[in-house]
Amino acid sequence: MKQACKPLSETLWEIPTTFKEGMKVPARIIATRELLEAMDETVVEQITNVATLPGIVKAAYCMPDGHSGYGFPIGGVAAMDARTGVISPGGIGFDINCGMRLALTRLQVEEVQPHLEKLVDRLFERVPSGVGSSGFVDLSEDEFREVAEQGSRWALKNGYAWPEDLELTEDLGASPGANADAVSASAIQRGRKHIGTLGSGNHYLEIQVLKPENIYDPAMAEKLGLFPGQVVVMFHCGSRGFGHQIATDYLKLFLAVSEKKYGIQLRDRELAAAPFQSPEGQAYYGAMKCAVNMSFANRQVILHRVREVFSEVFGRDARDLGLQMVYDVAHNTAKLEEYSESARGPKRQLLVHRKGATRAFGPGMPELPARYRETGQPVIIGGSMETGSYLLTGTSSGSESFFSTAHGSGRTMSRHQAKRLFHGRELADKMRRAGTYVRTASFAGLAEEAGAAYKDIDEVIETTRRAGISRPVAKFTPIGNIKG
Amino acid sequence: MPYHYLEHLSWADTAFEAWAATPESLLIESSRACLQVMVPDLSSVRPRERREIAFHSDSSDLRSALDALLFELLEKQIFFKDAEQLLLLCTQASLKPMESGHELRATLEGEAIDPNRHEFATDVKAVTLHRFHVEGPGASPHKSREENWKATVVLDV
Repeated sequence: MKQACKPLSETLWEIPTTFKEGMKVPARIIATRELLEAMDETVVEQITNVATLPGIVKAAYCMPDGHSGYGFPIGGVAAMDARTGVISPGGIGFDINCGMRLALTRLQVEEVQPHLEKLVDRLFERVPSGVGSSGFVDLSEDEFREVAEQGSRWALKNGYAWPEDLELTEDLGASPGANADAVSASAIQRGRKHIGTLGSGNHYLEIQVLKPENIYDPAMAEKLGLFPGQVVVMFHCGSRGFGHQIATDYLKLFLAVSEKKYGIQLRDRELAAAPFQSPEGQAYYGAMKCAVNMSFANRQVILHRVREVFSEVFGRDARDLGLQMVYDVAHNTAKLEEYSESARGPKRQLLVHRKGATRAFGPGMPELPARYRETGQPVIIGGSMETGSYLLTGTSSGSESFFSTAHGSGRTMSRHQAKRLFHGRELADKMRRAGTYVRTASFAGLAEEAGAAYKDIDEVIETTRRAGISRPVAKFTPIGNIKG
Repeated sequence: MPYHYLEHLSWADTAFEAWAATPESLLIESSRACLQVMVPDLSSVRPRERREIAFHSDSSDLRSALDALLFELLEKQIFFKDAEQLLLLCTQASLKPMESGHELRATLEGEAIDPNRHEFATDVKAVTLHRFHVEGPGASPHKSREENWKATVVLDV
């Protein structure tokens, strides 16, 4: 199937509409030849299925870290006309607003190393992770509904945020359109105790260092508040049981109506969809936004705990330690955004699905916080726990893919294969010898996340640079890690 | 063991195949396969709590009904894990044809999550419909009676 991919450039491949009956637009894969060859064939099957969805505009995109998912491939981006197009839960994923947050410190790595184990141990206690973990924030169901509708604003009102944190969160930490009435009682029950928890699998909280040789754009790095030897904190998590249940609830509903009520031919049950303007489409959108907001609030509460722990360990106020956010950005979401087909053409509203793909708005875009209008939006892309993660910025040329870029590096092997090849405790010891102190709720889970189980993040990042969809600023090396 | 984990269906998540002589046994074995993703040592989960659940499928075809009801059962198991911090296994299941479809009544038994006794592997977020499939008798003529019914499930972890 990959033979159907025709090169438009060294980093852009196109599968024409003639490849599959029903394709309304071409499918485009952003990748080098090497990354394309390493992708599994199911990616082509899935992205060309996405191209058949009603109302899709321009092309169905797959990012350089793409791999097979459910319905959409991971790394899938699809923009639908907001008036005539569909919304599909498969284009957002079960973990709604799985995303990344990056915070800086004023600390040099030499100041942190003597305290590293204490920091990681305390963070491991204060930020619950793993199967069935519950957060310290005890909420009634009504209070949780407030979180779902208010997101980070709820966190600010309750003392878990600094005012500037909201400005530095996508959608100001509270996506408009959230409707708690569209959320099932099961989802509320399932998510109520998850505020301030990390989850499991590939979710993590890392203390990282910026080595001087890993600053790729010194001028931009300085503008973003970075300096050589700096310690930063990065974490990756989502909407936990709340989002997972909302996704399941609406997948079932959409399956019941996609074909029977709306005549949408389903190539894949996980591509179930409904017209965005339909009652079902609007209900899912309202519920999905609740999960988006809960996830922002979750990451905000986690940052609060990070500030508490650093403050306790260093005996200084968190502001004095410089624990300021850089940005918080989702990589599983659907957003209403405006685009025009040409530079002077009229703008129209599109619903942009990004599943395992990160929004990367370029310089000058009015939606950005004032401090980032010149630089472009910060983009945080996570690598494996052994290779490190990146900070990038959005670019003007990102308009090709609706200002979307990669979100991670993608896997090279299954979780079971990784558990056969790697042993969690040995891996933790190896990482310690290499300079990273790990605490985990599951050594089996840790083995699944071994560095060799993931593709080369450097190659993915370089591809996004060559494709012009994001611009690397710096790479961070983990020195402390908490995993569920 | 009447189930095994599959490597080829999903690299990022976990998939299993379960098989059994009867639909009810298939539900029970699938429930075990799902919980074992999270708790590798199922013997560490004691039957101290019980939840009775009931689901209905409109399908009069047993295979189609089982397809839908297996999904509901596994989803409920995952729900209890988060909503009530309970690790539960399906220990009894009764699947009956009704005037309008099929009804499943099942017993889930287990206990509260205890990090001091339960060793965890990976959390399960959701049951997906990716390649989700139940096969009934006759799907493969060379199967033994113990393999009359087979389920393929991919779990998002």
